[in-house]
Amino acid sequence: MRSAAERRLAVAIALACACGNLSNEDVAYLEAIPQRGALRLSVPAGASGQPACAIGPADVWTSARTTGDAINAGLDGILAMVETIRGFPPSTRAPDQRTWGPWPDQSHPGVQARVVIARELDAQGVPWRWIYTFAARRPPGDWLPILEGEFFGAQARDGVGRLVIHFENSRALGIANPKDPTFPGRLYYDLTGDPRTISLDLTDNPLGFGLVGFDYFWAGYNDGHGRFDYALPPDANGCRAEVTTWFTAAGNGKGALHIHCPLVVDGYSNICWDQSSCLTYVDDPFAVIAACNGVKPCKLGNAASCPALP
Amino acid sequence: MKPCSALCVAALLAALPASAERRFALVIGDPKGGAGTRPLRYAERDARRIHGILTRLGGVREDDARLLTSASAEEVRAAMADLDLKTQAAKAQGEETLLIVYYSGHAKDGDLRLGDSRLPLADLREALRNSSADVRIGLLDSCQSGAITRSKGVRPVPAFDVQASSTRPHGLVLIASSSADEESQESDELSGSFFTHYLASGLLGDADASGDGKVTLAEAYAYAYSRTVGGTAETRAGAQHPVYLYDLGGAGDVVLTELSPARGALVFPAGDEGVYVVLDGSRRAVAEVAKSRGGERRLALAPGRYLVKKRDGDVLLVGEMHVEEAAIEVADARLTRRPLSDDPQKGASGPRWSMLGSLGGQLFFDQAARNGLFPPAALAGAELTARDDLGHELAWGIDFAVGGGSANLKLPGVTPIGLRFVELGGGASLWRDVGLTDSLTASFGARVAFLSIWRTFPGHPELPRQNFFTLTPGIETMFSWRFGERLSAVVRGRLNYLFYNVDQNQSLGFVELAAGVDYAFGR
Repeated sequence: MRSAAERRLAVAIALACACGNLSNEDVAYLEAIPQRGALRLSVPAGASGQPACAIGPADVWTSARTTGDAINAGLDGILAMVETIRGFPPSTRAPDQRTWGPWPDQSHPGVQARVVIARELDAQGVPWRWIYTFAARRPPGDWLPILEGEFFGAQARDGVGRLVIHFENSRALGIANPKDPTFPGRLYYDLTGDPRTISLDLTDNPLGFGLVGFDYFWAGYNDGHGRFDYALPPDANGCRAEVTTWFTAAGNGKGALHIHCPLVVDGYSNICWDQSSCLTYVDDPFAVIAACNGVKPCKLGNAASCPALP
Repeated sequence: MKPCSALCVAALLAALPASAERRFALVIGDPKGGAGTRPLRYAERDARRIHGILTRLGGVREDDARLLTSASAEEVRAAMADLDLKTQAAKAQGEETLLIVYYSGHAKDGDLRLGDSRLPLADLREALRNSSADVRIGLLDSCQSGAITRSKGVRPVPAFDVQASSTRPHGLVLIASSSADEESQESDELSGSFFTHYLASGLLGDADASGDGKVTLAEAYAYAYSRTVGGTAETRAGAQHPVYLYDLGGAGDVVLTELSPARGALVFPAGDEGVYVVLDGSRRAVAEVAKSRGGERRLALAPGRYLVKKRDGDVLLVGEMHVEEAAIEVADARLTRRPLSDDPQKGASGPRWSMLGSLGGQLFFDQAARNGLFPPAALAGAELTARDDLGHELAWGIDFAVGGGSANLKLPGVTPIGLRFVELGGGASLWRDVGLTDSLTASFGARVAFLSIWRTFPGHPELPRQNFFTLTPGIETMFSWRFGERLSAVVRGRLNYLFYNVDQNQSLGFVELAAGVDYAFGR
């Protein structure tokens, strides 16, 4: 049986009740967080089916797609951590800051996670800078930043930002994936215009995400063409190729390979391919392209078949 | 046998028609009597009934009649003074004049209680005595109202002693519903006071003992006296005895209502007998006819739908009548036999239930709040209402409404974000009904409600669904117009307070406007 005081208290609570997560400001904070879809390297797949290629398959371009997929998978994993907060309202709301958590990381027992997003407003009250930190800890340990970011603009889909992924901390906490790098990775993105660019600096992270250490760069234009810079793992001779590719929306393109070999070989090779990822032109003084069969210098196909790209 | 056969003969000789003179009426109804009294349930309805009868059948022009409900003593005095000026102007033009003052309300300790103000009965009597009108008639339906006749030391008697004469009457008649030491009683079954109910029934035609199509003052009093005494004989308070002071100079009786000119009527044929009760569309008693076999009885009613019922042994005879311009015969043979349990008046004294269906909208006053948080919404709702349950003209209701809409959320520097929202609201209301006319009612009250809102962002899967719940106290006003037996058109406005506390603590106000149709159950 409830006492009269308890009943009065219950009534007072009911009268004072105003609860929920209906918040325009929360929407503004969530719109400042980059989405997986927005930070995605788009590399055209080209025509389906693999016909017999006259010169040979453009393995370099095929590597571009697998590299892009690896980067996208890595970014997805990173942003998935951040997007966790979309599933529940902020724990605390301050005028220019929101905090989510701490909450127990369901994927990693014993680990707590927390996200803090702060913003700065200009004189007109428009947000111009957002700073966010995703941190984790194993109590009673200290909070370690897993991801730190900075974003300029009001909405992530068309702003400029950077992310620092502290793989060293996620490894220290035991929450890293096996393929994750071991040193901090830095991501820069600029979605303000045409092209949109994404840069993933894994220079200090050999084999992070299964990729060689490199400053990966992607630019995508509104009409579908773009550029992708990446690196190929060393071949049997220890030669490593850094590749700059330009591609059309249809999937044909051209690439320049900067070849670094242990024996002081350093130079460029050029290739072009069609929509079916078949080589149409090869100019490879070092015969690193398989279609050259080791014959140096190697010149195959017709340069006129190359698309008119920068 | 009615108790006034002798006076009816005299009345036939002496009654002067209602249309031969200029008539004025002041009709007052006040349910409240100030400290120490309980509100009357039917005082205002009584006043409206008498006002309607006098202006429709009593020869009182609309602009010569004053209907005061819940007025103060000063307003009554002012209305009397105003009518006296009009009376003087009429007399200056050579017209014979008659003034009727009717009062339904509280009286105590020698005063009429008009809310918190008081009007001494002696003052009213003197005001009537000094009025410029040739004939002044005071009709008081209130407790201990017989005190107004004390100066003459009268006793309750069933009929006037009317003298036949060729000269027009002049002077004062005071009729009170109860003697100086009696309570005047109301009846939920009659939806009015006993005295006024029978007075009204008589004026509508049942008091026309002579059958000449005119109801005289003597006929009306005799009828109201006998029916009131009979009707209250077995009540807990005991029999109530109307009294009168008759001080008419000259001679003759006064015709209070003329039935013949009335456009519509129910006619009870000569061959039938019994007590017929006439109910209006709300199943409230409008009049009674206590009829013996052998004479036709005519009840002059305003156009409208009525239900006539008569108990005949173990069954009810019930018939629905639509009174328009022609007279309608109410023969027993045309009435439908029903079991007593199907009494259409059953439950008329209890709460009156109704269901309102409405469509409307909601608008927050604060422009920033309208941006996404609480955009203008369309609402459809239903409200279950109980009237006259907690008190006379008090009503309570519970309501629910659902609605929603779509809008764009505009944030600085962000592309407008489309959203959809759904609202669910509900509450409990308490209000007071104020009858403006027979069919138009205004209501004012308060409401405590809850409001739940959910919103989603189509095309933005990255944004989670949001919701909010809170309680919103407010006030409301409503106007309803009865256009059918059970149906009323309703417009309603609510002013609400809402406390929002997610982004910041904020007090918000919003308005809800709705229109709908109210359906009355069972009555």
